[in-house]
Amino acid sequence: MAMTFFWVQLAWRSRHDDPARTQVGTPLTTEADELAADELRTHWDAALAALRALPWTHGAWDLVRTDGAAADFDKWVADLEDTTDVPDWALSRKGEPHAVATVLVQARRDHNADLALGEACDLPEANWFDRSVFSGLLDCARGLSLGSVERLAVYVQPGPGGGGPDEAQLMQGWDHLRSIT
Amino acid sequence: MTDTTRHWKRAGSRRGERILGARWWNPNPTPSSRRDAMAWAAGLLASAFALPLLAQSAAQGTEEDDEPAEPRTRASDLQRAVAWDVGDMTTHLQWPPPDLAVDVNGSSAWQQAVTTLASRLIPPDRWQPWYLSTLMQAAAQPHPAGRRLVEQLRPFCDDAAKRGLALGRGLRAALPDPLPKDLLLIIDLPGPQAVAVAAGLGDRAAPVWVLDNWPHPRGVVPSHLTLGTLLFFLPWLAGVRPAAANAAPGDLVPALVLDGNRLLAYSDASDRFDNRYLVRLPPVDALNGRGLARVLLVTDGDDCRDDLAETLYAWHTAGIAVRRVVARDFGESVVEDDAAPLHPLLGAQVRAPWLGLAGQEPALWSLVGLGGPAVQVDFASRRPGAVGWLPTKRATPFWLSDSANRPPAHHHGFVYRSYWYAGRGSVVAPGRSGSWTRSGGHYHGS
Repeated sequence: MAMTFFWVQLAWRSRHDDPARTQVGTPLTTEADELAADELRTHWDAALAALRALPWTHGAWDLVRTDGAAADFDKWVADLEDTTDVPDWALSRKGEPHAVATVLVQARRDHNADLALGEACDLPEANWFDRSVFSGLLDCARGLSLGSVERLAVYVQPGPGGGGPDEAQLMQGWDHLRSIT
Repeated sequence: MTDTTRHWKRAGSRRGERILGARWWNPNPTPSSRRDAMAWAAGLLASAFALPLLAQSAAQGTEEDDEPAEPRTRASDLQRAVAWDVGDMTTHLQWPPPDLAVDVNGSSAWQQAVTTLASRLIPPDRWQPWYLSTLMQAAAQPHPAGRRLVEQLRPFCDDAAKRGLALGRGLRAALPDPLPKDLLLIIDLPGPQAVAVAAGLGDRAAPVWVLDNWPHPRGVVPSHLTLGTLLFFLPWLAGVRPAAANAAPGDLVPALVLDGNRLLAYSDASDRFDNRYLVRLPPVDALNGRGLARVLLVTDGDDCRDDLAETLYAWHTAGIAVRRVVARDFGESVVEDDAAPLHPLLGAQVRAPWLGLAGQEPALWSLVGLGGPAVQVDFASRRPGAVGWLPTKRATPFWLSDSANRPPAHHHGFVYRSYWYAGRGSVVAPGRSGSWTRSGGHYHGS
């Protein structure tokens, strides 16, 4: 089964007590091990709505429709959840801290979720980092038909209470992020 | 419908200072079929003016769809789910002359109205249940599809529309004074002409639009021309208000306006997008409940279109007086309207009386059999067949009048989704798109 992988990553200035980290990161961490689609939809929507409301400073996104789409999803998750190394920003920081949210979707190719994503991502390169583009992508992700979605995830780094990278650390550690215009 | 099947499973979660979040997986993703796309449509139809809520509407849709993938999908469902120009995003709508940039008032204000047509053209309350604003919603499709359509739309008014306008004025002159409260008009003419008839009816009728498709660059039905005509006449259509002080908006004669091109002949050619649709007229109870006892169908053929046959016959057998007049019978002569000045875009303002009965227009009702004072007219010297039509039982692709069984499922307005999704290869480029241009690691900085 051919797959599509979509991700969007957004950073915003965020102190350790920033409630937005919880608002974005918590909904999908519900205690339940299984959820009905309607329930999952509610949590998904809450997380993405909270993310959409934030004043992002940097971001990036991608739609992958190659054979490696599913492997890319796995790679992303593995990297995100790997907390073996202590990051630079946990040890020292000079500037204002940031948080980074990551939204991941793996969908069946040529089904509705994939097609909606394809439509939303069909954008001229000059606009890729426009704020309105990120808003539109999050709106699209919120409205996806989850029936054809195989996997999804939302993560926030750092979690509540964590420090967070300053801008220089952000640009070094998340060097694919660009300023949002 | 609420899904109570717990099938999404948590695949992992992290709750710490380093990272907070979780991932979920769906072990039984189902092939998305028509119902998936219809979930999008359902929210819109439930709230015709809630296009900004598209995402939320989809969110309320049915997630569990265990139907097998269908070979065909309703065209408008596919368009709503993907884009109005699905499969042909680089092909532009074709506009025949004239090349207009302004509406009937000579204004470019239509540009601000494109995305709000559905609310601007809403009929009075009592007719709203019959209002189908699908066409008017097309340009309000979310970015970027909606913008592509907005950029291609423009006002439209060709000679056929001008004839429609004169017809509408002729019909307007025939309406009795005071306006009858039991009369329903059905305007079933090619889209631009039908819209113009509604414009010609002016302040005596309340158009109730029944336009249930979206335009497409390769559409069988050129509904963008209908949309363009709506934009051209919008100042008149959106401004319709009762002229008589004693006529409330709900007292205007309701006029169901249909696009007669909706059933255009079409073979399943690979280069055409089947955006046809069927009209379902209200049941007889709905007419009775609104005190409607007389119906005048304005059409362009000797009989009604196939999708109306069953309902019109049902109305007829239930005691509703159903008659029809043909557009060509309004074309014998035109009469200049002395009260209206020469229009800079439309030229002389004329009306086309039915059968050339200038000055005797109200005779129409008695002549076709819808009441009113008797009038003697020599039909032999005019149009044979102009009167005397009644709905009849007849077999159509949508109704087998001599059988209790329904005819086989028709394909009007259904398309092969896979072909228009990806087969044409122009929906989206395959492979990778987006701001990420690297390969490999460095995804994040932990």
